[in-house]
Amino acid sequence: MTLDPERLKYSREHEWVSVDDDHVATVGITDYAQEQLGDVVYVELPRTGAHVAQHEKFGEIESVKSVSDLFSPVGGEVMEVNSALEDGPEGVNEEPYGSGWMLKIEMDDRRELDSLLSHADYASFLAESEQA
Amino acid sequence: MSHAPFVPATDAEQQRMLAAIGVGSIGDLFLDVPPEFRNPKTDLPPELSEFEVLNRMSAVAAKNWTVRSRPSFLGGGFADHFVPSVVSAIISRGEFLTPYTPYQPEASQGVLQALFEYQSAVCQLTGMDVSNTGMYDGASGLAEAALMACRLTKRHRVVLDGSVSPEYRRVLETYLDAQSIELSYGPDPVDPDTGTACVILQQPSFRGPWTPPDEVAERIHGLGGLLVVMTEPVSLGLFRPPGDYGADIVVAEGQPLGIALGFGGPGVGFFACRREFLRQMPGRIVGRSVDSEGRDAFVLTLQTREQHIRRGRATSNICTAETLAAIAVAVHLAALGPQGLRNVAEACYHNAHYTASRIAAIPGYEVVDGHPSRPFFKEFTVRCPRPAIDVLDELRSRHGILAGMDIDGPMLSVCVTETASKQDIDALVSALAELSGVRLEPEPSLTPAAPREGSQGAVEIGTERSQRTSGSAPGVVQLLMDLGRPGRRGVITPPVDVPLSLLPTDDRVARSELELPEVSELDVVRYFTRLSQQNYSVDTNFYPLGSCTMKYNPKVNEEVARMPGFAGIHPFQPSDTVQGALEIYHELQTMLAEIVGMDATSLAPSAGAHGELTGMLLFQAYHRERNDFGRTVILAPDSSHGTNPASAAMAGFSLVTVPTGSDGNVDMEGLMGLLGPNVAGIMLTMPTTLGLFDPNTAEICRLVHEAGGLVYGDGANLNALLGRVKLGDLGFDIVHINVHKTFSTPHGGGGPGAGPVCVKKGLAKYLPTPVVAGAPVNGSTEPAFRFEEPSKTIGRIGSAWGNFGVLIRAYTYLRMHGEAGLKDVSGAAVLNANYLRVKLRDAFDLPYDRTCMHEAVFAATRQRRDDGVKAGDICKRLLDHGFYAPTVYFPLIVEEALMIEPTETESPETLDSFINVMNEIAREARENPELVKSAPHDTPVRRIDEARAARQPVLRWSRRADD
Repeated sequence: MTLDPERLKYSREHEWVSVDDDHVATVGITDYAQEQLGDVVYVELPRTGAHVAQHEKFGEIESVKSVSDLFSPVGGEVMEVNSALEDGPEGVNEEPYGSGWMLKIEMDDRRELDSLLSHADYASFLAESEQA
Repeated sequence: MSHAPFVPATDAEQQRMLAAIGVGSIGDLFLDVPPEFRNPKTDLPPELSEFEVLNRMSAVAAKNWTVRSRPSFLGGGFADHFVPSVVSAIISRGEFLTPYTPYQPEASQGVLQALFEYQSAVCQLTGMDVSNTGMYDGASGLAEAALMACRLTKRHRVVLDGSVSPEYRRVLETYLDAQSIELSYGPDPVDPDTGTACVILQQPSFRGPWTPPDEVAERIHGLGGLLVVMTEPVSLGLFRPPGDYGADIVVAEGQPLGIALGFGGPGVGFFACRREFLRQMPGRIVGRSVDSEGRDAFVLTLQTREQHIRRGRATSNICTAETLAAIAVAVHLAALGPQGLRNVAEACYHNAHYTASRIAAIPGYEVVDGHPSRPFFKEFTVRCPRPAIDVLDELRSRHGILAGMDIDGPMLSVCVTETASKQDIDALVSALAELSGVRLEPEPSLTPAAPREGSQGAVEIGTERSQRTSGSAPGVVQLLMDLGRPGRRGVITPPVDVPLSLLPTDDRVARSELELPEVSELDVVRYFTRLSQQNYSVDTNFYPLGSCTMKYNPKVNEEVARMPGFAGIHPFQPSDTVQGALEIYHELQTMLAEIVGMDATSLAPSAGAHGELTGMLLFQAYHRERNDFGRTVILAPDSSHGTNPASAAMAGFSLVTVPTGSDGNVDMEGLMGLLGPNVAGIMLTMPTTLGLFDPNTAEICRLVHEAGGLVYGDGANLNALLGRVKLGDLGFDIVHINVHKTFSTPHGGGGPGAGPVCVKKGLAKYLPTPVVAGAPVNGSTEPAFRFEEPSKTIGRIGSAWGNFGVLIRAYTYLRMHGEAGLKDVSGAAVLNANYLRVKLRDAFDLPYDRTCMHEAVFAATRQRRDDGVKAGDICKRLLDHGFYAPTVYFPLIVEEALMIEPTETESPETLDSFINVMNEIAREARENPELVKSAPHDTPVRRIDEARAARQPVLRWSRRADD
């Protein structure tokens, strides 16, 4: 499964989200984020059943010499985590929009999506921050 | 001519360098220091030549009794064991003695692989899955194990079994109290509950017995807590390893396995755990990976746990630990092999049991806790007919015997190792008998037991490894376990000359298998010598590593530290038998306080970060005593070392960063905005990590004091200030000193170091215990120096009295520099750094272009922007030219930072050749960037796959699939 980046929503913290009809959101980090991190060596994810709030920390991602917090673009209950990342964190580098996904969340409130960026908005957000 | 014996530049050369910089004198380089603080009087004894210092130190050493000069039975975690000559031969090699922590793995394979051997040996001994590269000592390791258990379980109570010694208990109290973790002393047996993070057992108990702990392990695991075991490493040759009975974290004092007593430091703290807990482990870890050409290679891994990356959220503040001591352990265990360790353990057991049976036969004495199901190892407790303290005094003064340690009342702890002869033991027994008025029949003389080839026990030694033929695939590293052959042995262990006792055979107590390398002594020598040749070190290469002050480590320091009167003293000897050591401590306390402008000193911290933690505990004690509990915040500039926030966190503080202004000084408005009633104090490195002296320092101190806070000086960069500025004059309240930086003690590839802490008068009462008090008294028979406990002490912070073996090197160095000598050290260090600054500023960006102190911080921003060459690439290319790398990517506020510190001990020719190479690399970056980006090309291994090392951690030897 590799999602089409153009159909995703984005946060300013470089996470993406894809929502199906059943209010289930799939969450991961963007290609730009994985590029910045370099080789991902470890991803710490919450337990299934945990509750995460929008824009709050849900885990950590480590490269060889950095640690970054992961922020959820939407709030809700964690239905599933990508356990393949435990032994294969390189999935985040290889397919950030596919096998590198992190969480499936049952959303509390679909309206939270409205505050997120479209693909085009995220691209211009990146261009602006590169200039700054 | 310079007054500093190890500064090579002549006056004429220094004049040429000053001219190149464009100033008239060295004094002109210190103009950022306000005039009223410049060149204070520093009252130090006049300098001695090497000949004189050796004479003086021999005379001082002669004042100490050594454990080999008298019958000695002292234990308590430290004990006299035989150390084969091969250990000292290997760790005295400059290539192991003088490198820095192996952050550049291509130039450090020797240290890394030796530490991998250490990790493997510790895992095999303890029966645990993974080990780090060592902690300061057993006691601080145990405290860190308790903190780790609290993090893992998210619980805040630790239960101590009665087997844990009072010494360790005091250190646990210091560390746990700082984070408000409850420490309860269990009834016997302990009674944990669902709020218990861990139960701590000491195995064998400090009183002696080894108790099968399976029930305790089951109990605590059933409650969701962890089992932490403090063990004795030699006993693991004979007794069940903790991994076998469910231990989750295992800690031990490593000294008995190949390290000189040295008054209790340096040693090393073993720290091993179950694999699932790896990410919460403190300290450094070495992993096995491959380089860009597919060759086996070793690298520091899982570094995101550590302070230099995770800062305030790190698993510990520990940075420099005890690398050289850990390597000594690896060499020692390789030389012994499984049979050798078994023999030593059996010899301890037989000697101790013989001693106990003879003492038990004296009317009035009783060996307590002696039950066959709870055997003891080398230490046991005797109930004496009189207070133990009187027994000890009497035996010492009348018979010249160090009979053991006073536990409490009539209880005497006796430790007997393989180095005790039957004659020593019989002398102890007769003296004890005489004391209670009994005349013993002489023990019938026995035929000494023949040296044994096999052992009595049923341990399966070694493995059934197939015999590998020599030669292996290119690029495949053979570890000691791969090189071994069943039955091959290294050193011969001391013979046993007492009647033998029955060894434990019960499966619940005795060890059934032990895997260690089985190699000859020559194998050990070649293996570690070849490893050493893969390291860059100060003895072999220029080491311009910023903030680390990699100056030359004079050889006289080593000669002094090895004198038997210093290396062979036990930390728990009575003070009248270690007057020489205490005299050195007392003088060093005074000299260090004088140099930094303070009033009192603690020599207890084992490294700089340990000193920082001590400083934060002093902050805490100060505010607590004033009932000022609202001060939870520590300030530190955004350029600070990662240890600062991590040390603050270990003392329960949180850290807020103070911005740096565009001139590189502290942003004063930013600082004022942060000061308030919640601020406990500030941690300030001076000169700053940008290599600059902040002219506002005294004003910063004043403002912090006005807001009710204290000022802590991180002395990492003290080399620039020696004899020129006293931090105490500027207003600092506490300063720690890194003796491996400023006072020339070798870095050992990551320790041992020492981090003395100096304080102003009002804080002296809080210092860690003990400090040395006293003064030489002419004509008095009373001992002149004694340990003293400060009245409001924060407590004990380590197993013994700090790293004496390191401190004595610093003392030696100081005695060879009087006031003028130290001033010449700082002058030459600052001159050399400014010379590099002006000579390299055309080729590299210099974000703060002003007179620097001991180091200059450049940036490879131009190279990165124009050619895609990063600071890290430039470092790797320097390795190809035979130079170690500068510090990179630090301080964090400088992009592509290259922090260069030449030190005072490099000659102008070395600096010029470094300048040429740096200019050459800048040219390569423009003309052939790929050459730089793919560097190093000429090192023993090339760039290492660090991602692989961290993703699939291989942290110890194991049989390869093809075996």
